[in-house]
Amino acid sequence: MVDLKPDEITAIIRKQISGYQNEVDVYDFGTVLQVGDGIARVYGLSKVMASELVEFPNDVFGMVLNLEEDSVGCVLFGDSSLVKEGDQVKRTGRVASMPVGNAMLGRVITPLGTPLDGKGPINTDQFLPMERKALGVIQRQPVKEPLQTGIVAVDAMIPIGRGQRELIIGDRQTGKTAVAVDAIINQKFTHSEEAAKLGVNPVFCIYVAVGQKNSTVAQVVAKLQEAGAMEYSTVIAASASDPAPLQFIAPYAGATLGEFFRDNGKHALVIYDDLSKQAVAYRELSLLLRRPPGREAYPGDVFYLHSRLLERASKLSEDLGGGSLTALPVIETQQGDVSAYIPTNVISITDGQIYLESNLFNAGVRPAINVGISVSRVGGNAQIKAMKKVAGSLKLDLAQYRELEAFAKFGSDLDASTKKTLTRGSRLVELLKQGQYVPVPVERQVASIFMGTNGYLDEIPLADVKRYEREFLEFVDVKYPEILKSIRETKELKENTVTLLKQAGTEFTQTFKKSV
Amino acid sequence: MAVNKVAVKYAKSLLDFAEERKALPSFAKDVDVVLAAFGQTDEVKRFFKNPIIKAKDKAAVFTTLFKDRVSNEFFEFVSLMIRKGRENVLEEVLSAFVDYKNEAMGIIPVALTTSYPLSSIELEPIKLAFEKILNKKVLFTLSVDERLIGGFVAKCGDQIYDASLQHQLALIKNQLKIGGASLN
Repeated sequence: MVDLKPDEITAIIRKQISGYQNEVDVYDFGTVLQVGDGIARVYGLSKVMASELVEFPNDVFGMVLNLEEDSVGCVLFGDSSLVKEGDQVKRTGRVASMPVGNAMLGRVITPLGTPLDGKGPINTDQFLPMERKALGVIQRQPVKEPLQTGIVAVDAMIPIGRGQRELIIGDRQTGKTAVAVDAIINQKFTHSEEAAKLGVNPVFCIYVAVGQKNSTVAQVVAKLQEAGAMEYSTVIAASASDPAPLQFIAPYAGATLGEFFRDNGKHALVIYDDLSKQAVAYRELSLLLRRPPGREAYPGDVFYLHSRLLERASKLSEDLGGGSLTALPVIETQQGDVSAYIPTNVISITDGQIYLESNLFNAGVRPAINVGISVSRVGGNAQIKAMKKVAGSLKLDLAQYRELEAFAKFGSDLDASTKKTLTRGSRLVELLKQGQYVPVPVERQVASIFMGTNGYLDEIPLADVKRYEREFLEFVDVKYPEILKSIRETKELKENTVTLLKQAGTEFTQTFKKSV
Repeated sequence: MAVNKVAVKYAKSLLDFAEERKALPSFAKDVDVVLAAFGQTDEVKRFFKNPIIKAKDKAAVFTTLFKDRVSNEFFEFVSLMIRKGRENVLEEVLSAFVDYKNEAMGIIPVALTTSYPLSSIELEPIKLAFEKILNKKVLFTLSVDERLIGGFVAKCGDQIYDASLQHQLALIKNQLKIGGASLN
């Protein structure tokens, strides 16, 4: 026990209450008329703003959503059993907002900004409203910098640029979250000193978990920690057991935190996992608030719900610091039905989609990306030159392969050119397979795709393609380190690099064949 | 409280009628008489709300009770309500009328809660202060709540003016919590 002098205690208490002022406290209040199912109808509060936070007894907060003639409809962010009819409701005078700041990095928080990880209070001094208007045309510039996900299939054929909105869509258990988590883990490189030397700006990541099991969220957090990715990430969790209003605002909270980085000239990546559950939560509270149901009982503004969220992703103009907010929304489909209501909405809002298929997943193509129907509408401008060069022929080869794939069953009855296309295609598909949580740097991606599209793999048995790739990259690391260095630094595939790559390819293929 | 839509309509028309006749004060007095009777016993209230009792009987009772105590126009108004089968909202109509009348006459009702009963000398400066802030005539309804410890709480409309010791102590408590100071 440390000795304490009484005057020390006095000084501390005096300092503590120095902020307190003895004044008549004037505030607006209302009375709870009805409460249940996470919503409350409140009489009074005549001057309340839409989406203002209101305070119920027992530290339960709510948000005003419906302003009606003689009552207001509020959604509760806490336990609705703590609120009774006749309770007094206080206005807070601020619209729903959350604390933002660098202190949020490495933390797991609720959508209201309170910590969930037991690591103590988060010291931030800035509040930003959750609902913010997306930036206009003048404040933006086209997407031009790449956001490397470390997934070969994505970076080569469905490239994502900083400030883009790319949808990850697929059935359950097809690896949607895996793609997103890989993208977060791959940003570790951007925080290194080497990246700073190459002029790659760090990307801060926000993972928003909506309506997921707490165990799944814990798994993701553990994986991020293990990969050392938590240092530059924030996880915002509104799990399945949280009230629907929290699930509804969680993506907006993620966007707000992302905008904090963006507006300070930094780069952020936010993942909304997943928006179909958010739409369901929004439907639930809309129906409880007696808003008229529309298609599939979703309220009329469910499109606006997602468009105003995703529209906040942007690449700022140089005048505003050139920061960016990239959004990777996730949508779960039912039995591959992309023409359902919510999937079509979000597909039309985003700048492209990564389509994951369960039959590909079951056939062992992992990540189970269907590169045929996945697109990226703006990311092409953001690809580095070297990647653009090799990806062109990759796309072409794969497209031809898919066309002829049906004939593959005929085996020997095919002519030589068809056979060649099929061999090449199957090697490339094999090349695009990749393990989970092992993102590949872009220069290595370029080198291995180069091998594939230039036919070095054609004579390698299909089962050995992955081993070939691995050993080839090791070989290049040791014998031709200047190849990878040149791609990394110049971001181009120079004439002499191509020559070196070809030389390395021939040399390695010869030795490799002996080991087969 | 949230009022019945029917009650609002009747109350507004009664107010319009009274203003047209320039007899707002006399109507106000009549309303007070009836409301006082309603307030005194539950029986009158229940009698008028009861759907089983016939309108004719209700009208007869109303006549014997109030015929000589209220003005003719007001009596006719209530009779009309009974004929239209709206006597069940009579009380709501009258209290809504009082609210609208107060608004029209620039009077604002303020519910003042104190920790002990105030004398009129103590009340006067509070009243003056409120009339200055609100720029309206203040009509106090007084109540006592010992939990306030000291000071007062005034409710007017949607606003609360909280100058109670209880609230001040709660504020200090919050301040101490937020500061996060530790003695270590």
